[in-house]
Amino acid sequence: MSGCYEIKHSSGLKIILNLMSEHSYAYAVLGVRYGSSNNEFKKHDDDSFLSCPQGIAHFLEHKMFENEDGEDTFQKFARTGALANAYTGFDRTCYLFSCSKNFEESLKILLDYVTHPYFTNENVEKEKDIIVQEIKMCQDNPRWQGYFGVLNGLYSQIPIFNDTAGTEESIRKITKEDLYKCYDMFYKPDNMVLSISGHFTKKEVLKIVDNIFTKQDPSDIVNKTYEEPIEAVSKKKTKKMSVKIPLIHIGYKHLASNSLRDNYIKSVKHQLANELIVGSTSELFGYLYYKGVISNPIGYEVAFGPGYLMSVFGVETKHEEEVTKGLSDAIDKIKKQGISDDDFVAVKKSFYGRHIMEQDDPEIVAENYMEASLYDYNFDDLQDLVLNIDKTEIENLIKETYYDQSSCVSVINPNIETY
Amino acid sequence: MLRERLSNNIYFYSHKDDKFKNNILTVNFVLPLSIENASKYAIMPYLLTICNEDYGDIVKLNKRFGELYGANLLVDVKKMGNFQILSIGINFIDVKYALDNKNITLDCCHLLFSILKRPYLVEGMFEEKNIKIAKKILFDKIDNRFNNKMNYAIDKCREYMFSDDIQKISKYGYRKDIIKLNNHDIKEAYYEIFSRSRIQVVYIGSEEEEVKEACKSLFENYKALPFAKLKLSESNLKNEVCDIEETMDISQSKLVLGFKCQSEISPRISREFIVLNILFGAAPFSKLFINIREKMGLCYNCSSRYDKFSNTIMVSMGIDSINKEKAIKETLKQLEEIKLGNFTDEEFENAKLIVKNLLLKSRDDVFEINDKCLSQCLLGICKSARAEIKSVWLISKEDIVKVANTIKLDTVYFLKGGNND
Repeated sequence: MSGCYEIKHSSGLKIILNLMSEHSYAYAVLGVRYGSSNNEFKKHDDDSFLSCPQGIAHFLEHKMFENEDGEDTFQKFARTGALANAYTGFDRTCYLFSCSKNFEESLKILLDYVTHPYFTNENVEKEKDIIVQEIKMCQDNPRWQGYFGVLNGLYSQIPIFNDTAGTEESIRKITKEDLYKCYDMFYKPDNMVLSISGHFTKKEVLKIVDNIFTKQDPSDIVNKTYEEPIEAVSKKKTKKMSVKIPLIHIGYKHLASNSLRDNYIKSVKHQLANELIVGSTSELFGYLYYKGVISNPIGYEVAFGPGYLMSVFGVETKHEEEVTKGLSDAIDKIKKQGISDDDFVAVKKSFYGRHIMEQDDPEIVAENYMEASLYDYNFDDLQDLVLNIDKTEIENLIKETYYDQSSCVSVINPNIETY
Repeated sequence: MLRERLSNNIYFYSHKDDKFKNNILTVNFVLPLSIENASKYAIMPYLLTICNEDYGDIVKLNKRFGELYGANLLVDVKKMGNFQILSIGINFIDVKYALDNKNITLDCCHLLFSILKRPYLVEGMFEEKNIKIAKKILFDKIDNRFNNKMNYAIDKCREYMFSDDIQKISKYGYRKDIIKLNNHDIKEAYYEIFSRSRIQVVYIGSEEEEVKEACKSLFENYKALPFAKLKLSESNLKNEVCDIEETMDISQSKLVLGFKCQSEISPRISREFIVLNILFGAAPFSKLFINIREKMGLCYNCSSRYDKFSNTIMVSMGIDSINKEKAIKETLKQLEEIKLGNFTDEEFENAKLIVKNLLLKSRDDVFEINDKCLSQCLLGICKSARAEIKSVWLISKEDIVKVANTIKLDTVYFLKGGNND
């Protein structure tokens, strides 16, 4: 049995179920609209915003795995054979598991631990040393550092330029009381989405959700909004690390909409635009490849959230200037000459193929539906959205939102002479 | 699973499953790993996928993949035990999702075959321009390993573990050898990979018969030389533990402990090690995670990996330098606990449950089925996931204790960073 269901539970929780009964396993993810950029918030009637230490959403994610009965959540999952994990982004915190057997028990564990925080001074202090090691691990990751270099060059107001995990100094300040404050504010059913794909039944999910999620007052969250200029803060960021080939990230800050749904739709259009600019069939790729500048297509990502939208291109190369100039020239050329019909049709055809292939993976399916839902978008509409995008829409998007003054280059250079 | 010999040393394996919306077809050249040939063989998959007779440059070739609904070109060089494996493949949508009436499965087969059979040659030789690009791709792959410091530390530890063994050879070969490769060497390598390999073609998708027939025509005129029986090496343990410390300008030190398992290599023993590895350090409820991370707070990531081809367990973690000795001591203590049988029935059953979960999950992914097919062929076994699960349930605590006692620490590699001394 297959099918997709979207259900608004009486508690306010949104549930999206993709039944793929021919598969052996199921993947479930519970997403909370709360991430590292939600550091200043208040209730509607409050006079001022509460400001929290950087990295608190991620810290909270770590601490949700503690339970009052003293048993770690991973131990509970071990009994069902499920593999569990969690992650924190700029705008969301997600808790997940995958399993081939004992789905009901695993789902109960997931929903139970995320709805039952248990913080003590002792368990909060203990976590700090572990998170410091996570921060240090990221400090040694050139991709992470290069990416955050771009964010720092592009944004000055919306706090997405801070490392998701915070700094050693900021997390040392976090207390049990801070965690409860954030939990009580954001972890409300109507601020969450539960997305499940794979082998399970709708009935068993609804029974468990009914037992765990009770009707609550609607969430009352006012996130601080920021006036972010469209220009980049800085044109270039550089850093030296232990790498052999320099790592280049080039970011373009686009005009973001205030509507989450509009930002989601814009992000899809930017994906198509970026594929046309730097993808494996682009003129730019062929030019840089045969010049010996790159050996793989330039990668790209469209990152977006409340009030922000950007494209970030990334590649390893010893020829920074050729890449930055090549990218800028390729954008200018499309602005002047437009996109060929053949290229546009081919990119849409590839998009269709990738979209179909992704549907084999319950993990990707559940994550895609959850992400779309967090942005008030129905993922089922994506295929039609892309099919109906007109070439001139993408040409205009490139003309209007890829400007040098809104871009920043971040370079990770080797700190040693390698050859 | 269908297994059929297409020709001398050329085998076709397929797994028919209509549930998949994506299919995969890979051609894998299995070659004995050797210092002399590693570089010239490693360059071949990258050279062949730059362009060919039908698509004269990389953009034209990529556009053809785009026309086939964004089919993905798969290029990889692997090392499994004493073998170097060159893989070229294609991943594409199942025929029932194509919007036109063309047979996308056969179109993808033909594109892959044209890459393999119709290289771009000028006067019978590979073009210098393309050789230069393929060399750059290989150099970049070698250099890229350096960027992930944990993987780099694991690679270094393995180099020291296998310093006197074939397994130390890099799957991508060596910069000094790659630089020297000329177009005569490369042309020779092109013919050798067809004549000296055991070729394993793997297909997962809905059109088994059509693909098999297409593959038959691809290889009908090939006469591969007889190939020695695949044998996995058993590496000797050093007389004393090799302790290596190197420094680098990084925030966090990386500690790797390389263990050799002194037991015979067999499918049954491998399964026992897979369960043992979950108990020891491969899951967030394993002994290493609970003790070194959760109780002692020494690290964020701490895990162990078992490699059935080299019969090794690699433990890796990121720590402050000051905690090196504590971390080593605790790792050895936790291994000793397993050797003594100090784990509960529940821990043991949970570890088996995870293995069962992973085996079932692997049936849902064409890439995992492809990899599994390849590794099973190398190990000379052919077992379904269901049969493997059954074998896992038969493993006893005593079996785990027995294999645990064959594990010996061989090398400690410490990449020292930070300023905590």
